[in-house]
Amino acid sequence: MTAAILLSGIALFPLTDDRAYLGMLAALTLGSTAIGALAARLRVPEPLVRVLLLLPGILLIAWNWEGLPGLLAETAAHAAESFAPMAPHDGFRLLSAVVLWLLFIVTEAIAVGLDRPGWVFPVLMLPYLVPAIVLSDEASPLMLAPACLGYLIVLGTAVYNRAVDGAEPAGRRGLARGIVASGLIVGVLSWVLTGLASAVIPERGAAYFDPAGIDPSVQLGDPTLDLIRNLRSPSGRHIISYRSSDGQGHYLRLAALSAFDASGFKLVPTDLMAGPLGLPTGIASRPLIDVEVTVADFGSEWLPVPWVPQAVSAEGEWRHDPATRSIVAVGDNRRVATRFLEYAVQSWQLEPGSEEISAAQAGDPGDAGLTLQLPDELDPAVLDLAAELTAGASTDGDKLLTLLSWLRSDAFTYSTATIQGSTMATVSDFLLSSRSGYCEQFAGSLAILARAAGIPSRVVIGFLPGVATEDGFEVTTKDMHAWTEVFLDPLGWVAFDPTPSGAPGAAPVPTPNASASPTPSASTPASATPQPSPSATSTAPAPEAGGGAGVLPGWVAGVAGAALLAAVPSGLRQGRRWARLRPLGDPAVDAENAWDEVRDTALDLGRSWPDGTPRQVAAEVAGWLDPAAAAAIVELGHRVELARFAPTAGADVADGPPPAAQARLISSALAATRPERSALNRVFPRSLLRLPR
Amino acid sequence: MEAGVASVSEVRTVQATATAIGEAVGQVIDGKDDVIRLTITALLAEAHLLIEDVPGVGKTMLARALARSIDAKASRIQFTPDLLPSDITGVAVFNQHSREFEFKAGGVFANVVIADEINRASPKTQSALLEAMEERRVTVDGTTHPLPRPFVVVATQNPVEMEGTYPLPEAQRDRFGLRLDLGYPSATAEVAMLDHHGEAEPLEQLSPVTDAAAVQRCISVTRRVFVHRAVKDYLVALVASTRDSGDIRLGASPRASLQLLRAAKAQAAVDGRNYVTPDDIQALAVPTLAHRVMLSHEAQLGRRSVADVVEQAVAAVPLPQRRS
Repeated sequence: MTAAILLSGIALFPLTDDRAYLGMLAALTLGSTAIGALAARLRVPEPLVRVLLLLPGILLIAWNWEGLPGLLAETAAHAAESFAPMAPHDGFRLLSAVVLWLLFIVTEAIAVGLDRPGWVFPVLMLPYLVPAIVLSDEASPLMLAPACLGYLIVLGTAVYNRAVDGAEPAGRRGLARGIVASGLIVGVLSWVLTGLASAVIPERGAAYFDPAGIDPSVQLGDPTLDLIRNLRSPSGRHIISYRSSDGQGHYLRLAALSAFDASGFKLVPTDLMAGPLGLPTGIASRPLIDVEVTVADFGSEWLPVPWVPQAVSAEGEWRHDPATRSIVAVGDNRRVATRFLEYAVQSWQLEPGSEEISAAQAGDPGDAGLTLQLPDELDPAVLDLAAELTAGASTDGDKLLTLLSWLRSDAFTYSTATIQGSTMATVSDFLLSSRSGYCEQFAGSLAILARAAGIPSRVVIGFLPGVATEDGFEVTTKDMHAWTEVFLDPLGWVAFDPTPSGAPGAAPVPTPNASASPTPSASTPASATPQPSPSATSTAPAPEAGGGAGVLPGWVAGVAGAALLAAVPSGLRQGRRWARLRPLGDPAVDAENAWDEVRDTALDLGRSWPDGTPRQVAAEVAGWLDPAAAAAIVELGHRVELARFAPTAGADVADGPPPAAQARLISSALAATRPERSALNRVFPRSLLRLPR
Repeated sequence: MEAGVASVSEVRTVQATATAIGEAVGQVIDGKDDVIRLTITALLAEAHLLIEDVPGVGKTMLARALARSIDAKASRIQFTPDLLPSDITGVAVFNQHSREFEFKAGGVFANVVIADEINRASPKTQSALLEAMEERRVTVDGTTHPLPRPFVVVATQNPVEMEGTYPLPEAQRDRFGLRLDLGYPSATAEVAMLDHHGEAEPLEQLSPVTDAAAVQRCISVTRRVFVHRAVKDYLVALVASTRDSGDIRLGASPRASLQLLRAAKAQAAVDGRNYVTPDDIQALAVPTLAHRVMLSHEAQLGRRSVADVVEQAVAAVPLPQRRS
């Protein structure tokens, strides 16, 4: 059992670099096991043993009691700010060890206490689910293998133990078969559930990059996920410091999201190139600056660089994406390649003045219209809005400036409390009704409006310049940010930040709804707002499930999850019924199974099952039933008696109708005697609580 | 099938025989089917039977009806204070013609021995009978004489009349396989009894339904009734529970376990089964165990009957569950 839980605990590996929690866990479980063995020798009653088993964990918690609240808070902060795998942390180690140990206690109680070793599979899977949900892509299915191995150990031990107890060889084979079958059922079930869950949980915006034949394809993580997490984290943690040759602060860019569909802005699969970056389009006599960057405990596969990067000198294997000029790590530990990295970057300073911009026109970035694409499902009101806003502008540059100033006006409120992400629906909602959001929605909005106005644009994830210190600039997790890049001729990709200045990283600009601005409150219907869109009649943008939107509304997933969860007990019960009424070839086992099924049906119906021998029980139960069913239960009781006590159980039990048919007859007769059943009883059949003697 | 285990058809024969005996005895003893059944069970288990009850409820009648219905040699010994051991076992008599000692068999040489009011005889005489019951043979003057088979002693004991009696010590009661109370008949049964016994002596009209050899065959079939390991475990746990009970001063002996097993086999066969179930054990626990145990002082002061205490101990023993 200890081995099984240790193996299943291995699944937490991707979460942390610390392996000491396994040692702590081993100590805890061995402690509990020793107590259990001692208690068995001293013939301590079973319920007391279960309590005694909890001792090691309680002692450990009591040992750390003084600092526990602080440690927990610290752990939560650590987890919120860290990037997997986390650096070793006392609190996290303690937490994982104690949680895994609790799973051990549960496993032990199920496998030994309830004598149902087949049921421990979901428990052993739990540790795997944590990284699977938190990291999705990093928890490789390979990590399931240790847990499965642990499960097999539990099952094997159970078979061995029962064999030692003196079961007959045939019974042992049957038992082994039953265990394998139940293992398979549980396995398939959990596999299906995992599949369902991944269908329900929104798809993560990850894309596969092909690093130009150098390495097998590299999967790149979605940087927007870290964005909202960092913006919401309670305290800013220093992660980057840099010094630039011009002494100014600069936006540090991580990655660009070029594609846009209903589920939002996304990375685009592309070829990663080695070697020097080419000269950027339209760079004309711009100053070239040198920036020296030191990264603290911040792991990313994207290298933070000022726009427009030209040359990078960093340790490790780095490639660039020619389309977006993002710098990406390949090779070992690429996910955390930036951690504690020191590097130098040479970047062009592309900060055109407003005259330059207003003189510019939309250019062609040479991506076959990718950065102009808008999904068909986009609310036409957004297009109308863009047309209306840019109606007075003569050049594309002017249009852009108009859009930018509109977004930065006090019609908009900065808030990280809104729905995260920049899906088409959230951005439409942001533009048309709520007008309250955070940088990702501002950046997404500018990009969409620009695209609507015919200007290629994309969303960029990175960091704000941070705060100046005597020795350069310091960037914290709170400085994580999203902005927009727009392709203008002859300037090339120019960065614009549509988010109201000073908003991100600091307190949001207080913009009460009652101000003079035309900001409608979120509850006002979109059609009733005085917005510059004549065609927006009543079509409030709703997340459309059937329209190819990749994200289900949260409540739908919640309700589905709750329904699924609620269906689990009765599902288990149905599964048990099916398994019991299935002919197994051994009439004795069939009869016993049918007998157990009748008993559980009675329990489910709120009857109390009589104590006694099969004969006595059958006689009493027959009193509840109509004559046909009464005869059936007497007959079934007789078969069970034969199965248990007769010298040639098989031959004698086999006479007569199949036990399953009898069990069904009796069950329906039982149900007829108790037509009313409480809802709770239907959802959670009582027989599931019955403990085997 | 394991060699030696009684087949279903064999136990059906036993069942038919038992049913016939039961019907025959039932002609004489009205409304006491349970008692008759227990009596037949004792016969098939070759267990000696101790019937304890007030006078006049038909103890002796039951024993005589049983003997007659199986057409076996029955003898009746009325125990009195002056009864001698040799009256029971027999005596060697010098034969003037052959000039040899000849063995003159005592009352115990019969298939069914009715020992009436056994508590009236002296302990010495009681011992002679008890030894014969245990060993199923009699040794007189150095010669051993085997007793006929089947051999069953049905002893009656009168619990009310204690003056001048020598009640069997608890240790001696252990020799009896089963003990049963007859109890008063129900009103209808008593009326029926008046009808039957008013006209003629019903015992005279009772014709044998089987013979000693057939009964002996039934007994050998009964011995081969199958007992599952789980049932044996249950039996042992049950007997052991009388030793651990706080209400019982002296628990049942291992001999009691053996007797209980034999009786349970007999009941299974009478029921037409070739296997013993825990139901058999439970049903026979009080008849086989109650007369062997001694209540603690507390239980005696609490006026609890032995049967109650044994039943309580039995109920506490977990039944065998399904085999995994």
